[in-house]
Amino acid sequence: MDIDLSQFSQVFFEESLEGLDIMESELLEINIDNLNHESINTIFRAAHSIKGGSATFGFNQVANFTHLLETLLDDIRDGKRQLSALHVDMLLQSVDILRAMIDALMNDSEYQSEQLQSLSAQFEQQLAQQPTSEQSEQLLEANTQESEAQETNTQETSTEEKAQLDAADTQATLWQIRFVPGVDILRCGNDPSYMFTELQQLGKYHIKLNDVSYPGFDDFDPEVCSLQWTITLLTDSPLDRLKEVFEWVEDECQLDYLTLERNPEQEATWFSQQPSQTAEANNNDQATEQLDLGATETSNANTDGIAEFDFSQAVAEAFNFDDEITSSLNDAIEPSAPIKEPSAKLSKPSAQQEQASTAPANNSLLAEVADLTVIQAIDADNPTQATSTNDGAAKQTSTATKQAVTKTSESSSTIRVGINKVDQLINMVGELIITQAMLGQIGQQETIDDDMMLDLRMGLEQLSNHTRELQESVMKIRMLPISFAFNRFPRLIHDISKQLGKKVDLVFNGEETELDKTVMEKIVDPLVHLVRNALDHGIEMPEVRRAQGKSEMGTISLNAYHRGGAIIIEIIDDGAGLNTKKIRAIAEQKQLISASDNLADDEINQLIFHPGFTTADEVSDLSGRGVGMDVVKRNITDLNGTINLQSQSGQGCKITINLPLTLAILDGQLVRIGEHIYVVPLVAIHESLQVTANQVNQLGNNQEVIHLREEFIPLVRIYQQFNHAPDAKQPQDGIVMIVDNNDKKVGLLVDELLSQQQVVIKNLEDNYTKIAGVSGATILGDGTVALIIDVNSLAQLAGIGVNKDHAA
Amino acid sequence: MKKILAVDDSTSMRQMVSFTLKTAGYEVAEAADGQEALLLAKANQFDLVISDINMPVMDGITLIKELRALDAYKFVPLLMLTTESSPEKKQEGRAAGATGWIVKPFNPDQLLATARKVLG
Repeated sequence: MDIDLSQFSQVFFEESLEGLDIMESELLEINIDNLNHESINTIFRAAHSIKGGSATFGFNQVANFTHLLETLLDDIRDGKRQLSALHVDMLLQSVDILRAMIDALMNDSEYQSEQLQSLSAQFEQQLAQQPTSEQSEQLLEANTQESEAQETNTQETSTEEKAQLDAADTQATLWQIRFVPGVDILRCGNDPSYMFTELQQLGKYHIKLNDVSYPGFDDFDPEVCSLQWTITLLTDSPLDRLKEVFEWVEDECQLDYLTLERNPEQEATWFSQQPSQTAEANNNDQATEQLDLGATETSNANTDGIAEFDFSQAVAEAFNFDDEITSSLNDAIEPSAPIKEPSAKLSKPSAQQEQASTAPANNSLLAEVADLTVIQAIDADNPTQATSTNDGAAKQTSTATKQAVTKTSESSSTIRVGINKVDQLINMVGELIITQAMLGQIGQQETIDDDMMLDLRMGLEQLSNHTRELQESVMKIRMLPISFAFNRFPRLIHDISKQLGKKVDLVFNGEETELDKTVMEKIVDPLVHLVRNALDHGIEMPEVRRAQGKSEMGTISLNAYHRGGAIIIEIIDDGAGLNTKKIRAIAEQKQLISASDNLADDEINQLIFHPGFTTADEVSDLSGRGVGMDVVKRNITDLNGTINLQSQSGQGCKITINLPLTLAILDGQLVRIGEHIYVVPLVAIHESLQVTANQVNQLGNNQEVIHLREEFIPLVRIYQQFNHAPDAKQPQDGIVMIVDNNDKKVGLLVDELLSQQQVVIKNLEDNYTKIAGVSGATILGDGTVALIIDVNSLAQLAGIGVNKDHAA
Repeated sequence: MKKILAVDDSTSMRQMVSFTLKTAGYEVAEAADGQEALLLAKANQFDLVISDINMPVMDGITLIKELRALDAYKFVPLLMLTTESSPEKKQEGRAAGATGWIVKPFNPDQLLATARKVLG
């Protein structure tokens, strides 16, 4: 059988990575003092599956390493070993290493690391410690046995081949196996005929049903096996191979293996019967003759109380519940016995071939063997060939695996979607097709009367409903619960708090809140940064906390929820809060603000988002608050999101991120400037209003501001930025939209507000080029292209940024 | 056509077993845990069940016990697919009524040879 195992690799990788995630989260939640058995089971199962799969699919490095984990976990599961903090730590490290290994395999490269060796050594050291020394010895023994068995397998194969070449069986051993099955053997689905068939493949074979205390019809219980056999077998196979045949039942049976002196005459009698039955195809006359002979012999033997007949017949007897053994003995000659089926012949070519060499005198046999050899050559599935090519096959498989991996890594970005979401999608498409058919019918009419016009309108309405629902369904496919992003934090917190000696409790709220996959991918890094900061700089050391009357255990909360068309993510810590004084001092030093500036604490705190701003005295390997905060902010802004920071000295810090649910679709406000239409993201808009001339003030540097409710809001005349001819040149003639620009407000001057609608975002950079002030484009219902305004970059374009000019 | 039920919580392993058996001309149904398997087995008559041992919801040993208790599966070969080849595990399986076992890792040929052994 030529099966390319590499086709399962990708599934195995995905599954293993999932298993590792499960292991990790279970390990992080584990309570060493009060061990949850189900949790250990879950971890064990994950390791166990990875080991089984990796061994099967040929990833030996993974298999060998997971074997160590599995052994340790098995001991713990069975209560033979106490789980320690060290174990948890080792297992967590293993998760990392295994992830790296699988990543390497997915990229068709090899994983190499000293960490693997040292961790493996650590596992072995742990495993070597009592109480499992005995067990590991057993394991070792089992392994050796296994490899020995494999060796004998290969030896066996080569001997077989040799025997074929030499056409001599001088090395074969004559075995006599006495097989007394336990009475319950049938009740576990074992059938002696399986074993006989298998033995038959090993060499020349003869079976005899022993004298048995047959219960008679009245007491006969078909579920009880009351037969026993003596099998004579001439074979090259070692004893281990013979025992393997009975491996499944050895404990329930009495099995004696005896070696007999070779006796050609005896052998001729024993082994003459069996081939006679298979020979019929080649030489019918001779076969019939032999069969007749066999029948006579058998019935003779039976009068002595010993039945001597074909095994299949014996089994057939037992299962036919026939109390008249003798009467049905003649049936043995009937071609219905399984051994006469072509498949039986095919499955034992080696046995037949060997017979050819040992009984060269028998012409019919030779002819038969010649025939069989041809069949063997055709039948690639036969077991003998399969074993002998095992090695080659394994090599082929591993090369094939590599190829497949290269193939799949090209399209590595996949998404797992719940079947219900796909079903919903298919439903919607079905509805759409029905509507289309209905509209199509109307379209075929030459004239349209009023009734049909009504139908047409209804159809179009349905079409738009279905389209919207379909769109929603499609969007849902890309939506994943934010737990995908949150899941990495327990581990992060575990590692960092250990490194820093801090105690932290991580709390999640709203993990099930869904977010678009692309947004999720881009938000993870900023979140990691923020959580790490909260732990590194926010949460104080336990003794400091105690001194302040707080509990030693700090809390970091990650909250997610939907608000409008956006998702809000909050990172809240109950640590020290920002050091506003220090931030101010640094800002002054960097001349971001001047000493005379009168700023609220909140305003000062926002300065940590300024590029290159840092409050850390030394840059540790964990980033300082401020290092990279500008990058965090930029990443979020690039996602059309906003970030907000609130800090209270000694109470903690709260960071709020506001993100659009998806990057593919946007709720937009269409606005007109002259003959051009632009889209402004709805989330950015605070309000739109008509201003009066006296609300507009001129500041230095040509900066106009709108005076609105105690606030001065800088104004951007969009037509100036984009060089359009507007209807309204003055703010009071048009409409001013107050929009959000990095938590500061900006007024945009437009001519007219049009409709609000969802627009599909098309990337301008991919299709054209990046344009300042614009984040993308969309296609409107009439087919025209409208640009989507990026408020932040537009404000920058107009010379409004987060700097002291603006703060002043 | 002989019908086989393949039970494993690992998708890749299940796919491999199923694919191999299908290629050899068997009809194969799949289940991801013992409970799923039991429901399928009650609704259909399989000629062979090959089941993993370690599975969530219902493990393989329990599945074998449950199946063996059903009249329809009294004599049907039930094979354990396992990486655990310890004597205790085998004994546990046999006590539950398992016909035999296939030790992981195995290659498609070994799997087919074992299936043929019990299906004839």
